[in-house]
Amino acid sequence: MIWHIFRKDLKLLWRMVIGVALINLMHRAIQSGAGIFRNASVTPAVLLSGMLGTISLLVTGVLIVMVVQQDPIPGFTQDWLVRPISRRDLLLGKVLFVALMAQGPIFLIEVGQCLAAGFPLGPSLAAPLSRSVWMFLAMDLPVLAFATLTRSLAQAVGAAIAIVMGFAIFTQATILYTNSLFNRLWVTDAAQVAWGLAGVATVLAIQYYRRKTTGARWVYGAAALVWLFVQFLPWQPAFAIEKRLSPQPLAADAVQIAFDPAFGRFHRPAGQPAPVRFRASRVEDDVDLWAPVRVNGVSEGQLLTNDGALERLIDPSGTMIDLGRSGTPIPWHVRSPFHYLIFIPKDIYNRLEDRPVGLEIDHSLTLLQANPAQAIPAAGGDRWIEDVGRCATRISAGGGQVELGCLTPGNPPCVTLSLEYNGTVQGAVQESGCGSDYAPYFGRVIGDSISRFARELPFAGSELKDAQVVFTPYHPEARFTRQVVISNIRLSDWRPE
Amino acid sequence: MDQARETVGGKSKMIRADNLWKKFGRHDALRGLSFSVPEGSAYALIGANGAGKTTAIRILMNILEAEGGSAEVLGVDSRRISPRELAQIGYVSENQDIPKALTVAEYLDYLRPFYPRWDKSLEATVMRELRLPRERRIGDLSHGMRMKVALACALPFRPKLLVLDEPLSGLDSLVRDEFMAGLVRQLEDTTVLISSHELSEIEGVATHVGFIEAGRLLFEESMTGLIDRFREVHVTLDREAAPPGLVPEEWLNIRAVGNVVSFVDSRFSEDRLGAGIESLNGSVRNVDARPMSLRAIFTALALAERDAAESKRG
Repeated sequence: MIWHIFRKDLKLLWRMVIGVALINLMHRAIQSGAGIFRNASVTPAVLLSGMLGTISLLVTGVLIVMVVQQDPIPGFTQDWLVRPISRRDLLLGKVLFVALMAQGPIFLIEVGQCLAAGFPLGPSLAAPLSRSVWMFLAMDLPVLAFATLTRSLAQAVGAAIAIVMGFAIFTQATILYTNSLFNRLWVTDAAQVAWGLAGVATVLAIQYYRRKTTGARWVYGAAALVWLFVQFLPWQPAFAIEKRLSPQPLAADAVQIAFDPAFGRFHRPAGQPAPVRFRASRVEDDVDLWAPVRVNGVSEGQLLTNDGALERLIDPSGTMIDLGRSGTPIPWHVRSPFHYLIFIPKDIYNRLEDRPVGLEIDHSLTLLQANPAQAIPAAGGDRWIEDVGRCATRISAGGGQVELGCLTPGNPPCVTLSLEYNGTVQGAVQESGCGSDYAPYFGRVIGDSISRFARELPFAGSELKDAQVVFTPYHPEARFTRQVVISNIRLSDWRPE
Repeated sequence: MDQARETVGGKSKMIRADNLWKKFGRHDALRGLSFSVPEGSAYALIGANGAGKTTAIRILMNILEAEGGSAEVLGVDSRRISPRELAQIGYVSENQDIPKALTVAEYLDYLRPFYPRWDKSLEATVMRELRLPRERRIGDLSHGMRMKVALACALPFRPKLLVLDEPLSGLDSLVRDEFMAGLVRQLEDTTVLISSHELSEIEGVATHVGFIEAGRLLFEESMTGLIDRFREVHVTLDREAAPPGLVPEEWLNIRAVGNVVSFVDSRFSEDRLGAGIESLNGSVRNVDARPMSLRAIFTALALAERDAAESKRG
C-alpha cells in the first residue's frame, strides 16, 4: 500500500511538487547561465541565484511538511487513524514521496545540468546522486521527522522559526569556540548526520507506532541539542578515523618533519603586514613567530597539506601552556625548508620571550599523489579533463593573462595549474582545492552538484599559439600525524626580522 | 479472534470496556467506565455533552490511550487494534477529517484497496441512496454531505462493527433522515455503537442503551427493557396535591401541580406503582402511566442526576 499512499499524496500535492521543481530549475539554470568563466562581481543574476538557492531549500521543506500533514500524527480526528492502513506503510509512503517528489526532481535537474555542462554520463549521475542522498539523509529526513510533530503548516512554520532562532543564539554563544576550529573534518559532518538520523529514527518510531507527540518533541529537541554539540567532536579522534580510512596508510611512513634552525629567521618583506588571527570576528592580540621547518620524505609527484596542528608551549618550570589549534589547510612547499607560523598570545610572549622554552606541535597531515598531468591550449581550450572537470581558457580582455574556468561534478579537485610555453613554466604554479576536506561523498547543502573554480594566469610573452595550461590533479593517499618537538629555544629568536 | 471474544448469554461481545479511566489535565473525562456491546446489537451510548462518550469511543478505536482499565474490540485489546481489525470496523464521526482536496470518487478510490471485503456494487447502492455527487471535492461539500460521505465510506466493506460518534450533530432534518435511512438499510448483521444527542433518531435503530454521566456508566440495558420499565405517571387526586414526602426511590422528577402529582417511574410495574401511589396523601381519582420516548427517558435521568448532584453538594 506504500505506492497507493504515495499516489494519493501526489494527487493532492502535484502542483506544489511542480512549483518546487520549477524553483530548483530556475536556480540551476541561473547557475549554469553564469558560464564557465566566473568573475567576482556581484551581478543581479548572482543575487537572484543566491536567493533562489535559499528559497528552493525553504519550499522543499514546506513540501515535506505538507506531505506529512496530509495524514498528520498529532490529533484525534485524522481519518487515517480509523482506516486499515499499516503505520509502516504510511511512514514509508511519506518517505518515498520525499525521496521521489522532493529530492527526485532536484536529482534529475542536476543530472541535466551536469550533462549540459559537458560532463560525461557517469560523473553527471554520480555527483547529483551523492548530493541527493546526502540531502535526503541530512535535511529531508530531519524535516520529515519535524513535520510529524506538527499539526498544521502554521504550527510548523512557527516551530521552525523558533528552532532557527535557537540555532542562531547557540551559534552566537559558541562562536568563540567554533572560530578556533581551523578545519572541519568530514568524519565530524558524517557523525552529525549519523546522530541526526538516529534521532530521526527514534522520533519517527515514536510518532508512527506510538503517537506520543509530547515525548517525541522532547526527543527531537534533545537530539537537536546534542547534534549541535557533535560539531565539537575532538579533533584527534575524528582525524584518527580518517587516518584509518586512508587509501594508502603506509605511503606517508617516510615523511619526517623537523625544526631546522640553520634555515634562519623569517624576513618579512618590506611593507608586508604581520599576519593576524581572528576569533569571534575580532583580531586576537597575538605575536607571530616563524619556526624554520624541514620536511623530508615527500617525493616528486607528491603534495603535502597541513590540515591542522595542536600547539603547546612548555615554560621554564615545565608547565605546559596550550596554544590551541591552528593551521590553515593549505599545501606545504616542502622542496626546501620553510617557516611555519605560530601565534603566541601577547601576554604569554611578553612573559617568556627571552627565557628558554619548549614547543610541541602535533601536525595532522595529508599526503597526496599526483595523477597524470593533462593540458589544454591556453587560448580557446575547452574540454573534459579526467579527475578535474570541464575546463576552458581564453585570453583576458586586457590580453595580459589567461583566464581559466573549470566546472567539476561534485567535490572540488586538488589540482596544480601552470601556464607552460615551449615546456617552460610561465609564472608561478597555482593550486586549487588542495587542503579541502576529503569526504568520500559529495554532501553540499547549498548550491548545486557542480564545483566551480576560476584562475587568472599571468602571461609575460606575446605568443600564445603553442602555450598550454597544464593541470596536475592529486588524490589523497594517506592521512597521518607527526609531532615536532623543539626544546630550549628563545621565542624572541624567531620573531620576523 | 472470534473464539476469544467474550460470550454472555449465547451472544459474544463485540466491544467490552472495563473500568476505563482517562484524564485531560485535571479533568477526569472517564471515571471507571464499563460497558459492553453484544454482537448484532445497535448500542446507543447516550449522555450529556462532556459526559465522556467521544473519549470512550476514541479509546475503543485506539485513537486515545486510557490511563486505567482495558477495552476489547472484536476480541482484541483496543491498544493493539491492527489494520486487520480496522478492516472490519466502520467509523463515522462528526469530527472526522476527511481529505478535503479529494473528490468523493477519488476518496473512495483511495480507500477501496485497504478493505479486502469492499463491495463495489454496495458502494454504488449507498452512493445512490445517499445521493452523493462523486465528482465534487469533499472540501466543497456541506457538513451534512461530508457526514454522508463518511457513512458511504464506512458501509461498502460490510463492517462487522460500525462505530458512529455523534454522526447526526449539525445535520438538518432532511439530511438526518437520509443518513439514518441509508444506515438502517445497510445494517444487516452489523453491530452498531452509536453516540448521539439525537435520541429521537436513534430510538428506531437502537436495541441497547448505555447511559453515561460524568465519565461513568449509570446503566445499560436493552431498549425494550428500558422502554418497558419507564413510565411517565400522572396521578390525579381529589384535592390539592402537595409534594409527597417519602416516595419509592425509583420515582424521579416528582412534582405537584394543582391536584396532579407527576413523576417518572423508572421501574414500572402496575403492582409496584399501585403500592407506591397508596403512599400519597389523598384519594386517587385517576392514574395515567404513559410509555416514554428515549428522549423523555434521557431527559428524566439527566434531571434526576443533576438534582442528586445538587442535593449532594447542598
